Amino acid sequence: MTEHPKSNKILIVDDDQKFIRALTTFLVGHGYQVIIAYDATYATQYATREDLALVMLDLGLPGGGGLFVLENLRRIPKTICLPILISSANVNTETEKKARELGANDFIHKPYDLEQLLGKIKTLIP
Amino acid sequence: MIEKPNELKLLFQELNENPCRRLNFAFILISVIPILVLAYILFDKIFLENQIRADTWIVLFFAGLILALGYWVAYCVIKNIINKTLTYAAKAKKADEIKSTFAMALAHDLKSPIATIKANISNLKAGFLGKLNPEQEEAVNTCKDVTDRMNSITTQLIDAYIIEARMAELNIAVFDLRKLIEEQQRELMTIASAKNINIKIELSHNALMIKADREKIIRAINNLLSNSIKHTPPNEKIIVKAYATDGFARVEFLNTGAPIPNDKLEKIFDKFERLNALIEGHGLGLSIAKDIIELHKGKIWATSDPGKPNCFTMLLALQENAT
Repeated sequence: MTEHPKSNKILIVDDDQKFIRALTTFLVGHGYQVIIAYDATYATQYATREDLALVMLDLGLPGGGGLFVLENLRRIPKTICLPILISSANVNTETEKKARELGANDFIHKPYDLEQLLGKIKTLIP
Repeated sequence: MIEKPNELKLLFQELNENPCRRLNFAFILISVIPILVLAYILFDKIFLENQIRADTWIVLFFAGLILALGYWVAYCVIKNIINKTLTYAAKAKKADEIKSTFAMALAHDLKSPIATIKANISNLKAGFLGKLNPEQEEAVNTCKDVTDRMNSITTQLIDAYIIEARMAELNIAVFDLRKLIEEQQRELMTIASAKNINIKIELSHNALMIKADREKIIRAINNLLSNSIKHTPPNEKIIVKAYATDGFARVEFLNTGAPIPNDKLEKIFDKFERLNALIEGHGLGLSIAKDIIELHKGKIWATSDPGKPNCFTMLLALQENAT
């Protein structure tokens, strides 16, 4: 288990419940707290309400795409500097470029190794 | 001479079916007939006391009429060909779009479940779902290897689709090709070491600056080098040479694998074409490398001469005034 003195709460925004279950097990196992949002509406609500350390945002979401959520979060003062890690199975490089332009801190392509994800999380939440 | 109207109709029907015949017909009307008319007039002038007879004007009138008909037929044929070409190009573009949309959907639908399997395997290996006994751990490791292989096939298939459909966006940048070769040599060293293969690189002292999509060129080099490792017998070496020649960066991958038959030298770049079914692979690596190099307006080919190593060569234009 790793100790995290500051907020170590991660918001996972994804509509794939089976994937989220596995990801949550992994992140909790590494000492992180996890909040889950299955769609764009809840994602924005949780991001503004909770004291988060990181948002992990999937791009293909019901109720508006992940890029829409990203754009919203970058407009809200509370979440303007919140680290956002985009994860997507989308292979279009243009999407990654767009996400970075909209303010995403990093991008990871599905399917990824969770150890690789952990490395990125540790860079974003030192 | 065609006299009956129904035969004339049949002739035109035939011409309609074959644009080349119609073009020939137009050519005859435009070129041969005016030449005959000119010959007739010259004959008139030379042999009939340099006078233009009244019926010459009639001949000239009909010649002009036939000439106009020739131009009209040629115009219709060319217009028809242009229209058909444009329609065909539009259909081809639409087909490419459908293909790329399909590849995108396929990528998402295949990669998402693989992501879930990989995540669960990571949890099992990390012991977050309970401690595994050695047999269970071995089973999980097998699952991980198979999943990674499945992921690799999926990625390669989707890449092949996307690149073939020419919808792959190129993120163009100027960079030194030598650095990419060095990176790939380091990356593939582990796999090569497992067969005790040495990857030796001989690079030009001067920078080989090219203007290309870095990630895609990395993929092409990786595929060519991986292919060399697969086909090189254990304990031997692979040589990668890179140098400038006539405004191009030339990279050669030399391996001591089994000779490639002459009739296979081009075919090995086709999709799913495999030289040796016993060697692991999906027959996509070389095809993707070829597509990538051609997407950058470069060239790629293979040579295999008796007593010499097999050589895969790629050529990419050097960027002028770049250092």
